[in-house]
Amino acid sequence: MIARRPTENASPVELTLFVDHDCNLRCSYCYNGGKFSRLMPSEVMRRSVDLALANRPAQLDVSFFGGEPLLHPGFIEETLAYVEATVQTRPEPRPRLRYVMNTNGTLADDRVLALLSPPRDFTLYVSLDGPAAVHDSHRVDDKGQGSFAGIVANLGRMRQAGIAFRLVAVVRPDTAPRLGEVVRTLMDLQPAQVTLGPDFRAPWTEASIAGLRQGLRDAGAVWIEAFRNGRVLSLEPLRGKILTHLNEGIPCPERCTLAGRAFAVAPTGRLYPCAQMIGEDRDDELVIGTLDSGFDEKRLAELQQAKDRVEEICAPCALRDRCQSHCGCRHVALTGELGHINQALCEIEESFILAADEVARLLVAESCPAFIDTYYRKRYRPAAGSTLTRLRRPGDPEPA
Amino acid sequence: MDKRLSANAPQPRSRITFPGYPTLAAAGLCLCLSSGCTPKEAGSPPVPFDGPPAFLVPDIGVPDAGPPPETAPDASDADPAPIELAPPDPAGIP
Repeated sequence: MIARRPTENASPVELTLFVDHDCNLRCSYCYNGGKFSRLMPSEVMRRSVDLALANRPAQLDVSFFGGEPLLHPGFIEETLAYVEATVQTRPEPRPRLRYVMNTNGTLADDRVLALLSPPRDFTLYVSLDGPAAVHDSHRVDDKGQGSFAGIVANLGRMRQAGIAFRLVAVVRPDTAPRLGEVVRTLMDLQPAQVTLGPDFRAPWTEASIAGLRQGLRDAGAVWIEAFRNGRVLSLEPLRGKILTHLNEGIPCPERCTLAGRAFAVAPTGRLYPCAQMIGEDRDDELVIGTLDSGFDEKRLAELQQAKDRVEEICAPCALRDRCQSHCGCRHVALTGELGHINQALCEIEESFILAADEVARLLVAESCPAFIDTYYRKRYRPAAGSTLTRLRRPGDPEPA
Repeated sequence: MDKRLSANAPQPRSRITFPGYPTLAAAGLCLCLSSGCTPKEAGSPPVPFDGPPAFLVPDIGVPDAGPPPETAPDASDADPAPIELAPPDPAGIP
């Protein structure tokens, strides 16, 4: 009997398929271990989708991860077809479908573009670390050649095809001081979102944290400039940190609950709380079941209990409700163990919070219309003739 | 020597600083519509802001006139997309 996780059927369920361990890049900081070919069999894919739908979720997010998922466009096509056909057989109300893919952006032929194009609801995360000198210092192919130029060309093709993409830049001690130019480069490519993702496994020191803070100040200045020009761009995690203040903490559904509403499947059919915990899929420590045996509720409870140790450690911290210390995959990245974190996380998280608050403080103080509309008003319909929909700019005429 | 921070225990912060901009609740715009939460202030009207943002002054009350029809949230306002606070940790993938 397959245990029925995730249990919150009113919530979205996120199924992540670890398509293959293979990748056409050899990024210096990749945490997924060795690159080897182990494509997920069709049967594993189908059973995973069935498991995700077992509890009739209101929404199903199917995420493709790896390895490089676009090495296998045929697998992606087959999965989309299976998901969409299976959902059609379900009674009303059928779950809403969304797709997510993390890709290195080097493979975007016409077949791939057709897969990702609207009207399918695809959220595409493309890894791009910044300008060529930054990106190509880490993200190279198996011959050591940089991948920047090819990715930028593919992003142009995606824009032409109407495919929205989000850019993800890995931030390391050596690249952190250059975050200003990183953000400017990425913003110029017209993404739907830019995410700065710290490499928690990197050797962060006090000096490199100082570099991170300087880099984030520069990135914040670029973001401020965009707001002042009326351009609203989502720059994560600064946006998220602002929201944690606006909302006085992280909303409960957003906190990591270890497979509460998401799970990942390796090509072997083994189940994990999160795709970032799969690695080479050789270690049993973080396995929470298999497609054959179902979810191992006892093991999941043990892991949850282990993860929650951080809640006690962080209880006295003033930044606790604005920090991602609850996130299990960060624990594993930082220390290799759930429930264990270290000072690097405290410093990185505080750096993001301080940078975000500085941006928000400045833009609120000057009543920046784009910022105010985005963070304080966007969910309200302006009243006809109302002057209440935005702060007045200095020099604006007095309201009638 | 610049020691790796990964060797150190976490360091909970004890100082509390005011970030310098108001929460939604402080601005009279509490919109917490996450599942499981009660949207106590979901119908509150926009707060008039003129000139310097008065809400930065501590302990100032916000108008509570009730939402006139033309300022009530529309259907899409009542069910906003979930706030994404935890983007994927992308280091090294794919």
